[in-house]
Amino acid sequence: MLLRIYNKIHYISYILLVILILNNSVLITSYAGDKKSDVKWENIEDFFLLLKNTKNKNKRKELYNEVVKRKLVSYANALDAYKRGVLSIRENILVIYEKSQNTGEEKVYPLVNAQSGKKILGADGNQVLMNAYVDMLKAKRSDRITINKIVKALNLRNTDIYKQREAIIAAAERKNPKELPILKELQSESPDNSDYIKESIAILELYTSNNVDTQIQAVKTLADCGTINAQVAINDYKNNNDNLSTKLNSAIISANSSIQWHQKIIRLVRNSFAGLSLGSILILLALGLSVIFGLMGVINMAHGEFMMLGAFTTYIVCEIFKKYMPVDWFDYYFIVAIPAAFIVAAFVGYICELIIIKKLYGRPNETILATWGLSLVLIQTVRLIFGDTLSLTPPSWLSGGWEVTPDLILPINRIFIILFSTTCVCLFFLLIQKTKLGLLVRATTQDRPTADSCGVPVRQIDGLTFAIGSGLAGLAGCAVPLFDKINPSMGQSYIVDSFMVVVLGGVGKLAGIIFGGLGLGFISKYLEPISGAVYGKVIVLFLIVVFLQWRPSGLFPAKGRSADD
Amino acid sequence: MTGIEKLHLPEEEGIAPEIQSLRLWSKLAALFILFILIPLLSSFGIMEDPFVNRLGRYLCFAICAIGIDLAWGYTGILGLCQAMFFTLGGYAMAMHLSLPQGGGDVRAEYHNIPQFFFFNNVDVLPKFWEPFASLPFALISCIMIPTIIALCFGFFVFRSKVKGVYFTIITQAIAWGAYLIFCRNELLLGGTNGLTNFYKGLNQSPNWIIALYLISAFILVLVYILIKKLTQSRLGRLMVAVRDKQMLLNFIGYRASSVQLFAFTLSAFIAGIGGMLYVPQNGIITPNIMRVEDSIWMVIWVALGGRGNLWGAIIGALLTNFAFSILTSDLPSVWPFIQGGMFLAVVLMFPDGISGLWKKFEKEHKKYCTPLWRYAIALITLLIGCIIIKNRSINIESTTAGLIILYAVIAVIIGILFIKCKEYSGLALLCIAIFFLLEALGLMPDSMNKNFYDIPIKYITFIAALIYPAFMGYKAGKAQELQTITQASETLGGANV
Repeated sequence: MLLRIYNKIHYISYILLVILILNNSVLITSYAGDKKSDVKWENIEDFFLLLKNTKNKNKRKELYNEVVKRKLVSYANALDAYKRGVLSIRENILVIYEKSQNTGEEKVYPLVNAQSGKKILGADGNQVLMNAYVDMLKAKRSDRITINKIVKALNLRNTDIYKQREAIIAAAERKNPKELPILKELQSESPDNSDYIKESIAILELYTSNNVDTQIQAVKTLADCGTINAQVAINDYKNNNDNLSTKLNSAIISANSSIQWHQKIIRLVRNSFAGLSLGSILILLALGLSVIFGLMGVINMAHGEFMMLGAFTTYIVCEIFKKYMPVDWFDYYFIVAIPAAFIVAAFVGYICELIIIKKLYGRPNETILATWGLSLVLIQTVRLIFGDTLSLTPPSWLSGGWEVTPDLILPINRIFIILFSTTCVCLFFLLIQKTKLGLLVRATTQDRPTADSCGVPVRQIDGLTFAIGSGLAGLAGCAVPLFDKINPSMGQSYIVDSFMVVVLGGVGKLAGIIFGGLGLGFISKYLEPISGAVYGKVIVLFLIVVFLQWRPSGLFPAKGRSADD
Repeated sequence: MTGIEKLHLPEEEGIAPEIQSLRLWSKLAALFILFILIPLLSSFGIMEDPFVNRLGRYLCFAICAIGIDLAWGYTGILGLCQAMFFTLGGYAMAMHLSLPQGGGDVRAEYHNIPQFFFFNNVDVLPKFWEPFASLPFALISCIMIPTIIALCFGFFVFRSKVKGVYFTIITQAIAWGAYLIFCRNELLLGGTNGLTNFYKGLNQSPNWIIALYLISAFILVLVYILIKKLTQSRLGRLMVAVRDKQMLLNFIGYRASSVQLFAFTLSAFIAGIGGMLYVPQNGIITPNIMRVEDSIWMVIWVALGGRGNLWGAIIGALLTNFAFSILTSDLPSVWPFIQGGMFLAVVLMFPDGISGLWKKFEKEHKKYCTPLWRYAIALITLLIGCIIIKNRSINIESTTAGLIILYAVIAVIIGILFIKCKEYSGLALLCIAIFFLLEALGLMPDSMNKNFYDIPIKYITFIAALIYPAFMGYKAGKAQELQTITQASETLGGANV
């Protein structure tokens, strides 16, 4: 028994040894590039056929090296697929079988071009789907590690910035001194990733250099970078080397403190940003709630469901564009979805007001029950029609992020949400303050009987305001699917928060809503990292109860005769 | 002061004798059904044990509904954290029941403490669990924990004069926060899985079931009588005054906030009792019944029964919960529509709920004076018929013919009553009673074998019972609207002159 295990260990260690040798030899040969070779091929398909037909292991290795030497970056994807065994040649084109999709009962694999990464289209204009693997090109087991290294080396020169970035960070982790010159060479070639390259070079220098001055310089560079990656690298180095020179040690300590400070600021900015985007969604929701409550005394528990309707409208518009519109137009579906979401939510809101809410004026407690019932009906209707959880395909211009520093990437969709809700709030403000309708709404809110007797069509104003308030919730529903799943009960998770905003800000006050929304967003996002999401939420709720001790009717209480009813 | 007291005469005085006797008889009938008929039917095996168990649980809900009615119906404060108080009481009881001293199912491989601790990597019983080993402590804390929490929370909220809807929103937030906390494992109360593995007999052995049912029924009646006395007292009238004109009461020199605090705390106290009795009958408690949704659902019991009317709250709690359990097994995808429709209908069409129907019945009874024995005979004939069918073990679930015969009998009896008497509201109440009687005796078609005509047949009596009050309520609402309009125009006209 023991002997068998011993044998196994022996065997494994032998394999490891082979792998090690292979690694080094590949890297050395690939970067040295002094070996002459006479292998020739014309295109990528030929290369893989050649690879398949080459039985000799060393010959294959030569082929791999040739790829690196010629800097054939576009081969990286195909090689990776070759390693995983999802590569094939179909109609003389090299294709990759992508991850399987479930359509009904059977699995299908969509095809993409191995070199360009574009979808392979069939005669009907749709992407070709395969039922099973056919004639696959598969790498030999012994080649896999070689291919891994090759792919990484190729990716360092990848034209795709993000893939190159990954490769650069991975290069720093390998801590191979032979990669240093390549990185230095890259520094002048790719300005987009220069920060990352600088960091990786500094890490490599710190770990591999024998010169203390170079190391100190590297530590200073890392301190300037200020990323978590740099911090980890410095600390690892310090922990693994016991006898550091005092100079280097002090440099590391000062670098550490500067990085920590930098990280603190970045964390603050990140949390503020998250708080801002959460707050802006809440503001959009609470705005409608607050105006409706201020005007009619109706607590609309179904407000979240109007948001849900907006989200589903966005989804429908997206699907329509996917199916019936030209492919190029798809990116612009959001422009259609925004007004559509507003109109659908506003229309349903108007109908509900007409049938149900109208009869409940002046009975706020009963409106809670009735609108809760309404929300149940709306949720179940949508669930029966659309099913449960869906997710939206966001347009391509809303994906990705705005990179402020290497550590701080602000997602574009969140920025869009902030801008979007700012625009909506401004428009709403103008509507209320500058238009005739707004004047009538304000008049009715302040003193309903007097406004009525002056000839204001109070009932119509109520209906319109309710529709606009629901429409605003619909707009919020347009924004939420950008970062969250769509499901029929999604409104419920936002409704308590938006009520809190109304309570914090004071009813019917725009400034109150904005302060309340941002305050709630910031506080919950600042508390989340400290105390965890759940306890953060509970603390916020507790703070609100305490706050109401101090100001029972919100930050900006309503003034006037009607205030004390 | 004497003048004011004379203005608020208790409503029992000056009531027509026929209505007094109606009330007396219906009270006696309710007590008879609760304490004699159901235990008898159960002991003869005609009513099945799971049904009695279910009834017992719903009686606990009814206890809780009394508390809600006191706070909302009488004092006008709508708190949406009643389910939280109910669950808090339940958790205190569940902690006792899951310990070995309370008969909990503990095993040596889990260190002789409740099993869920094992999955939370806790080997020793936490300190705060230890006192719950004694039953008296657990019983007291079932009631005191919700009460103290309500007292502290209410003290701060009412002191700062948080009013009406604001109060509702804040209690909703509190309930939500509590739900989030109870879902955490760190609290060592079982997280989302809750507490279970009690002594199995509690909700399985017939003796325990009937005993717990009787205890629940007894406490329900006790709570009802005490709260009824309270509402008839001076304090009760103060509560109504707070509901109707809080401002005015403050000017007179009362402190309205103290009355509100009292009502709120008392409702939490009652909810704690309900939770305490609920847990042993249910066999499990999870944070899922303390969500905001459940609190709103509890409010709808009271709204359906008729707010400001204690027995209405009880009936509402029983009816809605039976409807819930019947309909969710028959038509699960339609249930949210019915639930939502219930909310809307109660608020829009008959704001007085079942108690409004009863009031109408009293009025009609006074007018037409159908002898009560007719109702009694109708019900008793039906009951005996049902029992005979059941004991003959005719498989009526598969033979639609048998069902049709049964319903034909019901139709004939109702028809005779219809022709003979004009108390339509009484008939509607009778229809509802028949529906639940059939359900209680297990004579309804099984939801498993749904035939084309089973579902409609099943709901005929119920729909008949619902349409009438809805229609009448709608008509009454129209009439009231018309009346207010006329009144308004009259006053306007007067002003013009």
